[in-house]
Amino acid sequence: METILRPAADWELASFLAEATAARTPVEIVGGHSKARMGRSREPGAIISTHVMRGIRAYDPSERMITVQAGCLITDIERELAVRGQMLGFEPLDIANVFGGEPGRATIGGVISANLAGSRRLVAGGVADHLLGVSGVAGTGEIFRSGARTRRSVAGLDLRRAMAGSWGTLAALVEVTLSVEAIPDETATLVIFGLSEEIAIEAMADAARTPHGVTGTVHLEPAMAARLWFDRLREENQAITVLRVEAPANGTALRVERLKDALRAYGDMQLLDHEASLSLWHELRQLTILAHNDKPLWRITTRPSKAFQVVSGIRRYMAVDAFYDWSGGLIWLEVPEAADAGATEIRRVIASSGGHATLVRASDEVKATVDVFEPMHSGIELMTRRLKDVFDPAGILNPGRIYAGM
Amino acid sequence: MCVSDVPKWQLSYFYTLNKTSSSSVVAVIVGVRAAVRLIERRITTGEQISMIPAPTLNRATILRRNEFISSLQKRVPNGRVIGAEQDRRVYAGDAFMPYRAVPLAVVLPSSVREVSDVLRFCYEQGIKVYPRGAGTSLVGGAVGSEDGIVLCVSRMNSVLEIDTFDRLVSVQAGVTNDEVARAAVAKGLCYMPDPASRSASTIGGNIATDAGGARAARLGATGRHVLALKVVLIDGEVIDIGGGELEHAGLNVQALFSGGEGLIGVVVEATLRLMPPPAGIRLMLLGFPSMSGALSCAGAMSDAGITPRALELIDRQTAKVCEQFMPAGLPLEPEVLLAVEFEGESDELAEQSAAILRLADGYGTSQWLEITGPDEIARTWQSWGAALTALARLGPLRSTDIAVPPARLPSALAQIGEIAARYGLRGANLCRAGDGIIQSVLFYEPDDGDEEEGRVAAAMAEIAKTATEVGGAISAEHGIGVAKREMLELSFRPSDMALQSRLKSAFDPEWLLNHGKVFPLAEQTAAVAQPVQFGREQG
Repeated sequence: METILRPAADWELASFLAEATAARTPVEIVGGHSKARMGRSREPGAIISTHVMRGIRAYDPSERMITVQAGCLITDIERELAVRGQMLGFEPLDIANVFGGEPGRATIGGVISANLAGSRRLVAGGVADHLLGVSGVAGTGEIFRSGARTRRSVAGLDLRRAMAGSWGTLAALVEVTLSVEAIPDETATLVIFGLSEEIAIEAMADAARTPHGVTGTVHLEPAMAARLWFDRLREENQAITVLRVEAPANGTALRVERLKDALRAYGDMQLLDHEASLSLWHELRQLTILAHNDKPLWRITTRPSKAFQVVSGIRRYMAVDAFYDWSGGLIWLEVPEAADAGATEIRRVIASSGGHATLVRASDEVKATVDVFEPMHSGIELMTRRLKDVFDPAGILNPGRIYAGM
Repeated sequence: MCVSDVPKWQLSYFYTLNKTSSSSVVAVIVGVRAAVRLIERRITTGEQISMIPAPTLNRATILRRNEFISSLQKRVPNGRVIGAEQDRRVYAGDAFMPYRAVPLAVVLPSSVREVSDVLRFCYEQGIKVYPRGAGTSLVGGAVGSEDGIVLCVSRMNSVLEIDTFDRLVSVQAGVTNDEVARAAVAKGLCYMPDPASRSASTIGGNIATDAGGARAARLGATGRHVLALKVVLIDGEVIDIGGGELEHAGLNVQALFSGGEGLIGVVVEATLRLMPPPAGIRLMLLGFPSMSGALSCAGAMSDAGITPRALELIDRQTAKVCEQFMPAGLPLEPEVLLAVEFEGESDELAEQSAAILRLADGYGTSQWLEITGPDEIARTWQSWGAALTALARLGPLRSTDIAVPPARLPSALAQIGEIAARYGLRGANLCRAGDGIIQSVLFYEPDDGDEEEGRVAAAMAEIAKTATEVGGAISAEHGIGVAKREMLELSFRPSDMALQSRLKSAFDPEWLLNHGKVFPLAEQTAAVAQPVQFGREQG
């Protein structure tokens, strides 16, 4: 039977992990289980659940920061912040829908470890940039902290940022302090129909270069757009390009006018008002349009100028459905079922165009045979192994979650 | 000690504000000459140049100086290895006055290949390496040692690529922050981090300290705007981290360089993110009769729905000195000046300034000035941002920066005042209210020699402790360097120190890179005594 530890404090984690290191027991860290099917398959071992460490420890809206335990639900954090008109600037993603799971169970520890920032990442910082302080326990059982309850601090090596995207392979997080921002007073969305992918990427890049408060740029090909719950756009049966504008009170009208003017070469645009915009971008953030099937799903990051080249390069080998975010800097790509989920061709295209591709959704059989994360070049592998060996020399934390043998 | 010249020395290293100004040129010449005289005297009399202990020197390395210089010249030819003593002295210090050391040699590579060759050679020979940009460090971060080389990237100063579609710029590490900012503006974009030293400080140095500036509270410091790095490790290995995309999966090894003070490797190239410019900006200078009124007003802004790009305070003495040094029309009557920079569409700016004024009225603002032209705004910030340099003209000083939770600013400032008074030192504070950053300046009478330096150092240590007692940070953005090395234990428990130390050892087993910086000397000595093989498992 699996051992499940539900620690309430760092010292419990510390003694458990120290023992696990000595005994070389593999340990998996689990928050809400929403990302359980991401990453490579893992060998079973002991489980650390952050279920008990789920409180909000300190929050002062005037300081624009919040301190929470690692198991705190994103929904709880956002509800608490919203009461005071604040939010997490990096717009964390809840990926549960992608796996047919129940949304609303994502924890802050999981979001940090999986580095899942949403559409606003286009202009805001990423997860790491919002981490003011962390405390955690390394695989060795050592309790550490990095940063402070201040907006700026420099002291030694930045272990805070190192936690983002580490997939629980370096440490178990205990408590984090995050910077928060004011929720914009007003939101509006410009919608352009029927643009080809190449033109849509240009339109998004042009929009993101203007000073008119653009905070999200997404393009959906018709097949993806057809899956939207948001009625008004679904029924158009065309590709849609949506541009979110956020502004202080009474500010969207002016910005929308100026943005429309700057983008007039791209044709007619529809405007979604505040409520409609919130609804649409909430849906996009929930990734519901990726929830409709079990087709293999890739998450690709690249330079926007290469996005079309990447997708059309892959399209030479297989039919794909694309959801572009970050002006093309992020591409969710659904591909047909295949023994390797298209990995061979996708990796070849990425190698030539540049970028990173992660296989997000696929069967365990497929994931066991391909590189799930972008293979490391030798220099990155060297640095990655050294970082890992310091925090977790026995390799007990989520072994094999990102890379085989690590 | 030739102290009346010390501030000019700081001038010469600190800012090169108006390169065509003859008074600045004179100041540079005076400063350099003064510093050389100072160091000459110290070397002649055998005095230790600083009260801060230097690490143990490797005498064998020093004895082989000429041989090593020859070998380095083979790798970096054409006069870019400085061996002559009087020329090496120019690189003996940075903007942190109390710590100097004439290095074994100064190497000015102009390519990644040269950096790699030099590092590999130094690694093989056990020679310490001190990366340096423009030497604007306020904590001795760019100072070397007699048994190490200063590796100065100032010749690697090209902008490699600027891409307006992808909104990024790739540069060599020796490019100044200002050059990047201007290159961005020329293409209709903005490079956001704006440290006060921007006209001189390099991107390499900015990355090493995660440099911020007035806008960092809202718009992020350097780390947030780094997309990719090319780094060289101590054994000469060149590694590309990232490729210009916003994110890449895998462990965040880039994190080791952001604020890493050159401990893990030398940054040689960086790809930086560019943002769209604001539609319009305005700067308001609000005068208050007291610090508490100004701080309360600053604290009330976010509740009032006002989100400025920058929010800083200075006192009247500092404003006067800034205005003398670099006239910009700063109001000089109020006790405290609060600078509020905000952005918006042009039609909105008037309404925003009215809202700010209404708020400020409620906190007793006595006078205000609104600056609307972009050039005037830039000039005001230049004058304001030169506060440290301007204050240095009043007399020799030491400065430190701390960060506290913004709500604790009033009590922290009061405590700093109490500490200064207790040590019998005059001081001034610059306060970034949006971030909770306090830059404290303490003046000292150098004629009292080492005892005076000791009092100032003790006062600085107490100020740092003040920060940690309220959950703050001993350095907001200047870094640890040598100045705060022995204070690191205020922020780190033994387990934090052990983990950080092992991480350093994993990449630099002999602690050659920036030796003597950041970690307490005892920690460094212990780590070097137990060298770790690369990749060997711990524990």
